[in-house]
Amino acid sequence: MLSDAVEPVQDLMPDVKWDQYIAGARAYYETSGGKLFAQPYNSSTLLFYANKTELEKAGIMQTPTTWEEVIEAARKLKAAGHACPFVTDGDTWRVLEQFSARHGLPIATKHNGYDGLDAEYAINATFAAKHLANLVEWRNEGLVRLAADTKAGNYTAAFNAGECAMMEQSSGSYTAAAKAFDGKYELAVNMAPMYRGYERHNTFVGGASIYVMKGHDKAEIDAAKAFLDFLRRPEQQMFFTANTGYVPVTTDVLDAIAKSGEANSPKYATAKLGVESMNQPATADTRGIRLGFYVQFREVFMEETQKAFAGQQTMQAALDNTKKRGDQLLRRFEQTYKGKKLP
Amino acid sequence: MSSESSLFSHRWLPLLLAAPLMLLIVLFFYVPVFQAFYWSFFLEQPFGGGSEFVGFQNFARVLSDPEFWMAGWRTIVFMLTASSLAVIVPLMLAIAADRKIALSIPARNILVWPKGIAGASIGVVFAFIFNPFVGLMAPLNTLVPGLWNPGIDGTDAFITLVAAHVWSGIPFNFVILLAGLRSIPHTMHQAAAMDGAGPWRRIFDVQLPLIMPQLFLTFVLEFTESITSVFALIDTITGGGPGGSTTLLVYKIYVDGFRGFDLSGASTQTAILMVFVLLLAACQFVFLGRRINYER
Repeated sequence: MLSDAVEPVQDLMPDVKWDQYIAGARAYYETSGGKLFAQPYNSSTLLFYANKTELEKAGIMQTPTTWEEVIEAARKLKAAGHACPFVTDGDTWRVLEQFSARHGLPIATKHNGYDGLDAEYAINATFAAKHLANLVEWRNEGLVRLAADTKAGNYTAAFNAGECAMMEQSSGSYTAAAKAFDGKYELAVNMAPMYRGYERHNTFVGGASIYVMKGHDKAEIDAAKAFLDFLRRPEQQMFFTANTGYVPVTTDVLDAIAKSGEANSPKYATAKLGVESMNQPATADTRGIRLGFYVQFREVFMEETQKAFAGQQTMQAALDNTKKRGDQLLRRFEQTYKGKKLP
Repeated sequence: MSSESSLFSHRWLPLLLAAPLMLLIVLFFYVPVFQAFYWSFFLEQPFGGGSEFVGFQNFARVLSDPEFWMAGWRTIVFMLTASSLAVIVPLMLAIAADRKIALSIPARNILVWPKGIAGASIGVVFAFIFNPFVGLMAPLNTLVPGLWNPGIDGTDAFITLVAAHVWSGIPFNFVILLAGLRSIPHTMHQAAAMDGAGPWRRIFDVQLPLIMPQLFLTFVLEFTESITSVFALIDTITGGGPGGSTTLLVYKIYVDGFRGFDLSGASTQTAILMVFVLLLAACQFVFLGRRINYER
């Protein structure tokens, strides 16, 4: 954004009805001033997946919607001899970003960096720190497993194979899970669980979006525009959603799905849930994340929290370290782009 | 030597013949090296657009970063353990294959084959061999649950990495050492045996001193190679984890530079690593190389 290499799509095509984009997908790719910077494409968000068959075997009839219920279900599963009630890979996107967003918690000051490059990480002092510490405890109790604890070695594979009963994963994973479960288990999908007493906010959009680069001649730009128009068409988005589990990004597609007569078909199961999850009430802290060297921050987070899961340090110490190292990244980013302002 | 060089009477022909390779070396080695040193004094914007001269600030940052020292320490531990084993194991195999024991002739062939396998493929295979549920160590886990899990325990992951590296180092070092052993005149063995030296005595007093040049070569190559070639293994087996326990310097540079877009930091670490490797090789030549007798 700071390299001035991108032509914001909203500037390029002012006539498109950009307000049709669902809020959670829009905010993430907006400039600080609220203009759409890139066109969302393969959008996903975090959902909760459960193996209904295994849950019912352990006497759980309702798919859990809160963390309290998830853990209660996990205890019952464990009591019924299940080796892997809930599985996660501890990935930053799942356990920190999406958790913070839907609980309305900031990841960093300055509204996650939207309001300036001088933001600082806040993750070690929000409720997210408590949740992450809970994950460590639950793992020690045998309720939560990490990807490396599973036979499959990969948490999605572990869930899809029936080894683990519950997971949080991208909506983009739905088709694979449904196919793997076909005829063996019943799949239940829900919005990602909340802690009791917290109001639900929107989850972030995941996946990718399409940027139009500057410095091309008119013919190329026209072709790019035509391509973006094509991708935005409801029938294209429906085709994409039905075949991948990615979520449609404009409201007219939801209407088109409702009218298609297949609204309850499993191929659109994640569309409704995903959009609902991203359309929950937003706050200034749930717009998205705009923090420099963020990819490196994710590496730092993974490294430090893995040490906590392995018992080498407490989760609080891990998060304190993550904040410290993350802030160093932010300060260096600020210096690298000295004098520049986010668009 | 002068008689050999006079074979090329044409003045420019030798240079011309060497030019393609020189060009490749300049393009893919000296230019990047220069670029790394250059960038280590700048704060470089990840996607172009500008940079700022910051003097030694990058060096100060890297050298005061505990993660850098941890990665450096791991690199040294790996270098000492993995490289030593990667010479000692092939040495034992070579000594065995040199003797007239059963199957030594086919072993001389078979042990060379892994040379043809890329590091990344070795990594994929070893990740499977050391898998806690289906691999070699799985029986251990049945006895003591959770005893072996490279995905959680950093030490286990490190051991896996060392094992894979040693295995991948066997063919080359085996060939060099075996060649050295085979070139020892048979009469020396006979003379030693006549004097009453048993097989062990002959290994330590005849064979090892006579293959010192080969041992030195393998050690120098191993020590410098292990620092960089381990990349493929780390990337395929552990990804640097768990908790950074297998993030050696070379992998940290890759992660910082290509995944985290910290071009300046990665360049600075590259510069430091390069100086370290050069110093290391220089030390080996100065302190060990001189003592080696190449005459027979």
